[in-house]
Amino acid sequence: MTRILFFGRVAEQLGPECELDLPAQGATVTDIRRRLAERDALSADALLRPDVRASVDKVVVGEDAVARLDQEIAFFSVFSGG
Amino acid sequence: MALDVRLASAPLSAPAELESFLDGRSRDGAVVSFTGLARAVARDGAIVDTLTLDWYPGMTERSMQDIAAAAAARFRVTDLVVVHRCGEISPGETIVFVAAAAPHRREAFAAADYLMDRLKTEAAFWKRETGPAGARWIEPLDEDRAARARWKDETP
Repeated sequence: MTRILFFGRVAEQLGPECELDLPAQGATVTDIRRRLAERDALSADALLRPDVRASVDKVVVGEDAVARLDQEIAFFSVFSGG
Repeated sequence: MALDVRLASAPLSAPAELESFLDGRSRDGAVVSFTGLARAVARDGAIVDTLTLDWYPGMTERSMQDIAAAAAARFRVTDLVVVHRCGEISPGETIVFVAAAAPHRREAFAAADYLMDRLKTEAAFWKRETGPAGARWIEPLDEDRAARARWKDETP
């Protein structure tokens, strides 16, 4: 199982993290987002929004980025700034 | 050139930060500092009891560091300090302190202004105001984005 982190509005809806089974070769952000959204309606509502972005190893990435199982994956709402 | 960029989970003292930044400084002619405070009243008049800044350990510090490094590359400054609170903040407490030291004042003013415009829109925080009416997430305002956009077309 791979741990997925959530921040901002996403964390408010889904909690700070969850675990997800990913293929051994890893998955794209789009694929991870889809797998998470398929779990339940709340996950779909929290994650299938255009302003919810993802990061891999703490770097914001696009939808085509591939995350390996040993990397840190996070989804979050738009930054508010400081 | 020194960049001092920190995330603070406990209350921070702007006077102490400024004093430390000024201490022993004899080759610069200017230090400009900015202190951002948590307000007790939101822009729409709603009462705010607590401001909460969620952060992503590692990513948030990196976003602040990147902004400070860009300011250092862009302006002729000697040193920069950026200290930002995270977690729960009460009205009146300092949220952010920035200071820029430079041989001449204009570069120091510009660097501090630039730092704040970018921190207000791009720093990796998620901000929530909580008051009698409940909690709500805060996102950058159009005027924050317009302030940030001022710096885009200028050469470094």
